[in-house]
Amino acid sequence: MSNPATEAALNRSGLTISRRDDVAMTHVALRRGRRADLDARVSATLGLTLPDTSRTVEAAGQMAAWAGPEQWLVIGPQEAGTDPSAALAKALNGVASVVDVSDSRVIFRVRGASAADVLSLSMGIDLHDKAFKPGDVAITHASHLGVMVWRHADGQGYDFACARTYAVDFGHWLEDACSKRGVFA
Amino acid sequence: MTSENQAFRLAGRGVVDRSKTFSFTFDGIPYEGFAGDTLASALLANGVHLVGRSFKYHRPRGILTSGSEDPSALVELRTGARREPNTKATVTELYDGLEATSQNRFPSLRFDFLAVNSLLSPVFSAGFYYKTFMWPASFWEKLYEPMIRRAAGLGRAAMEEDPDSYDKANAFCDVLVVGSGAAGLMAAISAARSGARVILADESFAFGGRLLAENRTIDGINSAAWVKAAIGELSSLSNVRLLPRTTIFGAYDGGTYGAVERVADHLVKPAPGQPRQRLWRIVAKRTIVAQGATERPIVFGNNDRPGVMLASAARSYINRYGVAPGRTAVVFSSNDDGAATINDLANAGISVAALVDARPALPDAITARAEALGARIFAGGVVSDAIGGSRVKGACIIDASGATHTLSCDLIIVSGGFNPNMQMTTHLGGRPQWRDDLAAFVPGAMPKGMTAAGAANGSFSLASCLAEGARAGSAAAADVGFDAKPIAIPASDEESNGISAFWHVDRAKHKAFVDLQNDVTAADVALAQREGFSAVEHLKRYTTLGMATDQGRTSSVNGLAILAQLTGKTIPATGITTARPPYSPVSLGALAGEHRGKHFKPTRLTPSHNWAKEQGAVFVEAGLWLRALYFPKPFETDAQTTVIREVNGVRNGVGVCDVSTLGKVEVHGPDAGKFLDRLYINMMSTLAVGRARYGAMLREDGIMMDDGTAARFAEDRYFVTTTTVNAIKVVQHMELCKQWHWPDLDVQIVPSTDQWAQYAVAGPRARDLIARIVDKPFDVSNAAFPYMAVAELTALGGIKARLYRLSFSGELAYEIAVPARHGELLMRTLMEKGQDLGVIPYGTEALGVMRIEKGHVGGPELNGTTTAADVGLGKMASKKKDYIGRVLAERPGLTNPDRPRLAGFRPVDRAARLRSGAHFVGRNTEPVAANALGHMTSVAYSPSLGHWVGLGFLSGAETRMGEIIRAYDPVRGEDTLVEVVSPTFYDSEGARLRV
Repeated sequence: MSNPATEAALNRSGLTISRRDDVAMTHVALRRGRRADLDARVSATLGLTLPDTSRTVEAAGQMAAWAGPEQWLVIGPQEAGTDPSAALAKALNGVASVVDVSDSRVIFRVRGASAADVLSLSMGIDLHDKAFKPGDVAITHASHLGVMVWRHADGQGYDFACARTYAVDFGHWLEDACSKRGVFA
Repeated sequence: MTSENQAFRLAGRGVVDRSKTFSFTFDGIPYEGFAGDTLASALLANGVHLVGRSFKYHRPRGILTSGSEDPSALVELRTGARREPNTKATVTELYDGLEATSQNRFPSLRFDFLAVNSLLSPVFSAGFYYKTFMWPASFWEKLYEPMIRRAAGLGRAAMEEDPDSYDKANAFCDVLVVGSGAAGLMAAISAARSGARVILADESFAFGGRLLAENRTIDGINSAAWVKAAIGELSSLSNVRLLPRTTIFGAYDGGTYGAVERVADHLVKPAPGQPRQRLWRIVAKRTIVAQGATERPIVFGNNDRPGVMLASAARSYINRYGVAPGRTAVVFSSNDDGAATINDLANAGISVAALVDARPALPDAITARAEALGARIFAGGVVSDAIGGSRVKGACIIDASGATHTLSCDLIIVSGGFNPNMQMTTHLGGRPQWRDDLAAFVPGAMPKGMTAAGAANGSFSLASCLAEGARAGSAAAADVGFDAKPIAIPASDEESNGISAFWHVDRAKHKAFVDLQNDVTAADVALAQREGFSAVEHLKRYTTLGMATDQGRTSSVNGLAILAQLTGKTIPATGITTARPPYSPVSLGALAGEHRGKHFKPTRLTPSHNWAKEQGAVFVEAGLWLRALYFPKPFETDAQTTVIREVNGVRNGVGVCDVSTLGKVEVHGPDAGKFLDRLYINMMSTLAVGRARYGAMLREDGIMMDDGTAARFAEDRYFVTTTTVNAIKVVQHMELCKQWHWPDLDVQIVPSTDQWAQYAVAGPRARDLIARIVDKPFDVSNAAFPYMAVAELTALGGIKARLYRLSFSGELAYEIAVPARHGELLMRTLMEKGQDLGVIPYGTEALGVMRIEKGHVGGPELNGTTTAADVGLGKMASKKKDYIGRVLAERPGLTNPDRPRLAGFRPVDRAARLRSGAHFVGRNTEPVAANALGHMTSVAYSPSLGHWVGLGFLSGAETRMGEIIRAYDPVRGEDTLVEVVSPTFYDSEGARLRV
């Protein structure tokens, strides 16, 4: 972390911030009228069903996040020396447009029981348990930066996918936001 | 320190903390007060009533109210960079070390030179600046306006940068309760007990509203003690957020409210890391407006003198702050609530000289009490004038029979009834309704999800506030799905609320003020009406009534009531002006929040940024991007030298430039080619796989939108680039076309600007360098990979890459791209492997010079007013298909052959410098606008040619080739003869591209 004050604040609230540089991200966009085919091939390849609402689904180390109407982000481990999207592109050939976006975004991860409490001040969406449940995803903004955020299945943290070229600014914002004192703490 | 210097502090009264004494200064004089005081209560405790001079007439002004509605107790708070003008002493929380200064006085508060303005008041009457300072017109800007501005005005803003930080925060709730008096507290409790998420906000530092200011009994205990218990319950609940020191200043769409929390305004300076103020965006499913009511003064002569005070304010100072606002009072009222203030005065040991009430008959209980106190009673009487200058010395009273009486007093307590604080209910267009029984406007139809309760709703009695608040709270919670049960309503003591509308004493001898902050008198209202400004909105603007920072909370209704009397209309027929956000002033610092200085907008960094920084690059802000402008060597003292070296380095060897900022979009799908055909003026569906093509797109109106390239990697996979500045706009345009214009096309769009680090590698040695970067066996020979070829491959030993044979510089060139995380590695490798080739990095300045030498159009040419034909791309437009902008590009104005077209320009005197922005006129023509032929858009010193070159738009460019014309620049006082030439200055055959 960038400075001792931030570190102290994170310790105080029991939060950790990390960057997930080891993931492959693939944008999957449905081709017209091929939903049934896409579902079948995704199920066969990834073992999961693509969500129709703003949710994430996970199976066997792969996650699919709703990223807009008829489009999804598939996130999984990045393996050195391979084109991260090549296998998926092959599997979904003709039923979806598949684009490697592993480097388009940087994923920041915030973990800790007080994450919602602390981040709620800085987020434009309602992070309350009733409003943003584990597995929910939102395409929103944080401060003046566009971001896609999803809540971890165990409810104990969030991933933020922000555009790579904004990542330095975003990282500063995130540290700043997580250093604030929560209101219900 | 004892309170002996707080001579007006009352023993045993109020909720201030007497164990905490605070020192403060006003106009340099030291005083003391207690924790829990406002600046106003602390000043009054020390007998200080005169706190400022008025806006226009520089009249002495005092403390009229005890809340955020105060029109006159405005001071400058703090000093130096933290100096804050027009701060209301009535809401400023006292802190140890507070420094305040009076405003708008010269040389001192007691003796003000400009008080002479008061004698000139005929000159300064309503609309004076429209009439008095009209002629001659030229005098306005230089003489009248500065003069008026110096004379009229309030505090001075700090001249230094604000040293404090400001924060923004968001909150969501089921029920937002605005105001924490009887109604607000009951609403919050009843909603919170059901489990709903509740936010309770109050503008004061202490919750309780009027319950702290009145000596009332609830459930058998004192009202202030009851507040403590209620807040105790609320703060124990995890579903409740309490926001003290927070003003909800505006209602916006979708249940969104703006609020400002004064986090550290009560400290000398904020603690480290603490914001001074925080701007809240609160989204509430239901909102209960429980902001109480504001007492209105009665308009009489000299009613602005220090010592004239609202009855509710006097009770606040006595009951909440334990301060006697005077020694001898005259009470002037039109209602029971105001008249009953004699009880509080008597309890505080203040002698009541007289009770003057405009009503001919008073309730027996009040009459009896006044008699018992030995006060003279003037039923059906009025106070016509206050006597005294910088402090009230007496009151001039006209009794029911018309006889005049003069009584000594140092305090005139005034009450004309209450106006509900319903501003929030009108922010989204709601219209208030008049109620005769209350002589007040109450909320009318409210926005969805909003209700009003208690005094804000016109229910003034304590019992009705408690009951209505409780009902509103449970109804709001039930409305959003909570099982809200009715809660017990506490018992309260009785009161009477009779009122008879009374606004204005027309027999006053002295100036009678309606709007104290803007110095608008009853005579000004009459003048405006006589001059035809008899609609409320006209009255407001002509006289400035209600337009000051207090939003006219003590003046608007009085003003329109006086207008109604003058026009013979009823008050509802006269109407009320519209209240708009903010409810009370919000500092610009809070609105800006953390977005100031370098954080005003986000910064985007290119993949080679860190490396470029190491190299000592000079950066330029290009939109949100930071781009390397040039890379100076230690011995290079000026930018020109560096740029010339970089251009020569590319033209004679090889250079590398980070072009990752160009917009990049993946366009996929079976209909991708068809889609691009409709977007671009030229054909893209005919592009062969493995090739790229330059393209231009138009806006709907036929004007150039953007240019770039489309590369085709597969039948159903295109990769499109845009200019840096239009990257987002083009994607939005594509999404609009896909989703709205042509939903039938099977095409998918994925913005990919950030995915790729993309570098231009340009110069005669570019192939040698690229061959060392791409993995074998990829063949980069001209035969295998010709001009405009593209390929997907690997580079740097197995890293996925893309190679494009594109050239912006005019040299043999490539653009090579790798996933952005490898961008820095690619740049370092290019520099390392190209060392023996003399590779150099070049910045956007050299890039710009080379594009001008080549006659490529850029931002200055694609400026939102030029067509494809204007910029020399007319022949590219396909005649075989339809595309966006085609029809409107055919408009006569856009196809007029006289339109200025792109051309090149070189100085006749080769040593002369060219200037962009210079206007073209014929060689022997007078340089006036009527003779203008166009203008210069881009210029550069061309290292390749050894003189300046320029691009620009010239009427009849094609027929003027070789002509000598003037480039006339009146801004810089230059007049240069230039020759009209082809825009392509360098390698016009393009031979260097294709080697």
